[in-house]
Amino acid sequence: MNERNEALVEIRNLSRVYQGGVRALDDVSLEVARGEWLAIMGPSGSGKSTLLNILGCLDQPTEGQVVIDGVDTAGLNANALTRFRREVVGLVFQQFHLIPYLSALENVMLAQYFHSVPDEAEAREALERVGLGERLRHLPAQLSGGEQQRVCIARALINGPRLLLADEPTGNLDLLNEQIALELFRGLHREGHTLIVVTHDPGVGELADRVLHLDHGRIAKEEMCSCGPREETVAALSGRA
Amino acid sequence: MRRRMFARVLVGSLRKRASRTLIAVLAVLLGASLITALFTLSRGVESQAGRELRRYGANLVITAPAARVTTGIGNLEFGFVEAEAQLPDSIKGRLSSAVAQGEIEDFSAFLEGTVYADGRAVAVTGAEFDRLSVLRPWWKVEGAWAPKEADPQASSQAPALVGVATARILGLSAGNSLELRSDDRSISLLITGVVEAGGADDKRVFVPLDSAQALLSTKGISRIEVSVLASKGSIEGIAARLGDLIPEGEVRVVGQVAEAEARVLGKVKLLLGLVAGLVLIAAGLTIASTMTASVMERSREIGLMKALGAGNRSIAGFFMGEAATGAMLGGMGGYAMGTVLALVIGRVAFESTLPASALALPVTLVSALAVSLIASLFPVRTALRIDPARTLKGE
Repeated sequence: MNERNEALVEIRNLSRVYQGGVRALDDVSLEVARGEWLAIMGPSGSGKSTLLNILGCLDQPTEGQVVIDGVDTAGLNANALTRFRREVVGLVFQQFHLIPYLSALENVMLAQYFHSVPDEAEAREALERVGLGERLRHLPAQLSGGEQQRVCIARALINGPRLLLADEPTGNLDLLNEQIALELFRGLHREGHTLIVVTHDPGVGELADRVLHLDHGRIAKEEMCSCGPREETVAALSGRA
Repeated sequence: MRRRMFARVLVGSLRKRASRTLIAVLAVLLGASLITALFTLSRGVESQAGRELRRYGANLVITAPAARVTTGIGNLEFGFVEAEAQLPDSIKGRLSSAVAQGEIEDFSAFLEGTVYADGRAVAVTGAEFDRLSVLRPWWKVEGAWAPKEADPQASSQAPALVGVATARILGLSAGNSLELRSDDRSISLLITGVVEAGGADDKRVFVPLDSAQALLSTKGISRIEVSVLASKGSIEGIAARLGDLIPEGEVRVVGQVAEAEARVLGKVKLLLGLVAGLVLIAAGLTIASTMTASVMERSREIGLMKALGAGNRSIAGFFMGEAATGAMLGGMGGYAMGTVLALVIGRVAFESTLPASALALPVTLVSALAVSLIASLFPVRTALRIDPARTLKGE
């Protein structure tokens, strides 16, 4: 098995039970290979976000094992989980979640601050990569939704994470910005990044290598993507207006 | 670069919540101003009293017992008032004998009263001019203590020293002539100097004792200040013997006077301390509540920081940094306001111009910082317990 196919994420018999006995995830097992783009889909309440939170080390499983890059995160305490998260995981949110009083550049540097040392040159380069070289000093309120999401993507990538997690990254974007964001994800995938994207949108799911369908906390269906050239899929998405 | 980023987040956060920040700063400022006022007052008044004790040299004061005068109209009695009485001038002879026998070191007589200058009432003190510079070495005199011998005016006019407050009101300076009038006498004086004594003496005019006696139509004396050597026996013992020598006077140890002042000061300090303590507690509660509100308002921001990998130390650091910044701003403003407050209280309550205390600044800042940081503990604890997964979902 080459490095790209080696499992980055291994989940075994994962369950997450909340107070009151609500089973958000029920005995889920899966593997995600390095460099793979996995889409997770399902109706509301199916456990998508819970799974993403556990993969992002924002939550701990009630039962089961979650091994990311060889580390069993289920056994880590809160401080260790935080350290692991900032080293290994990059997060992209549906609602962007930028600090409103920091500029685009500073929002990216904030992620560096928590990781190690802020590097303005590196942060500038990350924003230029996502096409925001001219908007470095703008506050989030001065950026469009698509631009804010691109800042979010730059922030998620700045510390070189091994795993990129995105929760409905295009959910708040118009079609044009959705296309731009998806192009970015495709570029990252081509570069070998491992992506796990939660989405409601089948068109977004078709861009992935594999789609996992969750229902009531369990894996209902798993399908390999057999769509046509991805460019056509992206174009089709933009033409849906 | 880390420090710059930290400062950037701190400043941005404080500016975004400017009104809440202002409330917290004002709360600290109020408490800090009272701390400064208390500190400045206690050190200033104590040092002034101590200075007078140390430099004065006089250990004993002899005054006439206050006379009780019954007041009333016809058969109606309103009770009594205490009227100022005087000591006879002849006491000086007995005290001179005590000096000759080595019982006391030295003494000086004073007569106080009210006369008029330019139609205004003026407090006058008759004193032995040749002893004044020895008895009052801390006075700052603009001009001279006594007239120069070569000055032709000196032979025709008695000298006078005018307190700086009175000089300002009457528009006087060294070299001017001053006419003082009583009901039936007047006297022309040469002002040799303007005195800054730093107390009630700033409002007085000092003239030779015999000039004051002539003006006030009396041969009496208001008080005599006496210096004794401690090696001659206990001060209290000497005071008792002087009391026997001068039965018409009351002999008091100056320390008793200072003790009385110290008791008053102690009560003022206690009152200010209580008020300062209560205001600091109130400031602490204000800081705790504004910061808790801030944490609630920023729960998503805190959740995001945690999601980006911020540890507890980073989160706590931001909030403690905000509290410390507010403490410094409020502390410095409080120091300025408290210094003015001490000046006003010193003038009104102690007739004293108290200097600003440089030591009050670090004391105030440390107090403000302590209150702010302690008050921040609960809100910081709340911030550290925020669940990023839930807050980022909007719960």
